[in-house]
Amino acid sequence: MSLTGRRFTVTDAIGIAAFLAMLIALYLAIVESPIERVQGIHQKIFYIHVPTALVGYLAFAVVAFASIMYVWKRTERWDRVALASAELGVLFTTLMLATGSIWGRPVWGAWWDWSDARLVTSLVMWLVYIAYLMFRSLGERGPGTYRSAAVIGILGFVSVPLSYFSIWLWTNILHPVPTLQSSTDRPEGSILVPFLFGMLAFTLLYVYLMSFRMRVEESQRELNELRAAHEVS
Amino acid sequence: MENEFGDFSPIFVFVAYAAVWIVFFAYLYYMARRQADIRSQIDALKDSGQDEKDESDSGSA
Repeated sequence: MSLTGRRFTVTDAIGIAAFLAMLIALYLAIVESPIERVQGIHQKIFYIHVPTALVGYLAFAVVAFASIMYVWKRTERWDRVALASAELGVLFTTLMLATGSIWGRPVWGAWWDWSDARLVTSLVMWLVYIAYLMFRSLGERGPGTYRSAAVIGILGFVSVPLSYFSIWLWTNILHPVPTLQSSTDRPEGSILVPFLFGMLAFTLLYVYLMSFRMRVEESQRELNELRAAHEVS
Repeated sequence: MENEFGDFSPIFVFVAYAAVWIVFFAYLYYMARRQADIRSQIDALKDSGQDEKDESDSGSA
């Protein structure tokens, strides 16, 4: 089955599922979820802010896992997985920081607050992976760079639990303990369903983008090999 | 209408959701363009490689 002359793949199916899930998540968050009593309509940013944050953590966990696998197996495919996931992790974390800042302005009265541990540790995590991508783009393609990148990918993962657990480790003025983990203040289904659907939609989007990004990386490496062969001949 | 934090205007919600959708579509568009560009370079290299092979085959014949 094809619209453009090429075969309909599993990646295409995931892409369509992700797009539909994003539309449904948008409808549930904007139309179906209740308007919160204290923060008003601004609380609806929660339905994109938290899923982008959690999928960002997932992406960085994949970077660490793929980096360990590369160090162990020395298979280039694991390096491609790490690179693709790091790029997507930075994309999701950028959106998490941006939507958090936009949410903070009307609710806290400030775009940013350096006294909040979650904000600062999330920024540090984002900078760690920006550094990882810069190292990748500046280094030559080859086993030496892939090995060093894998070490950074493994060590850099320390910043992820540091960001996640910062609300319990340090004083937080702005980020409370998540409502989903509170024993006394459980969220209602009207909040939980749009949130869980948002999680599903953003996770599907991550899987689709990973598959797409991996394909681009594989084509890039094929092109590099062809160029090298061309220069030799 | 205002609460203790400020106004209830939906502009911040709109900007946050629009930013997410625009960034993802821009990323997908950029990746699709990059993939098409790489594929066309691969095809060009393969074609030129085939031409060189054909020339050397006809020369040796």
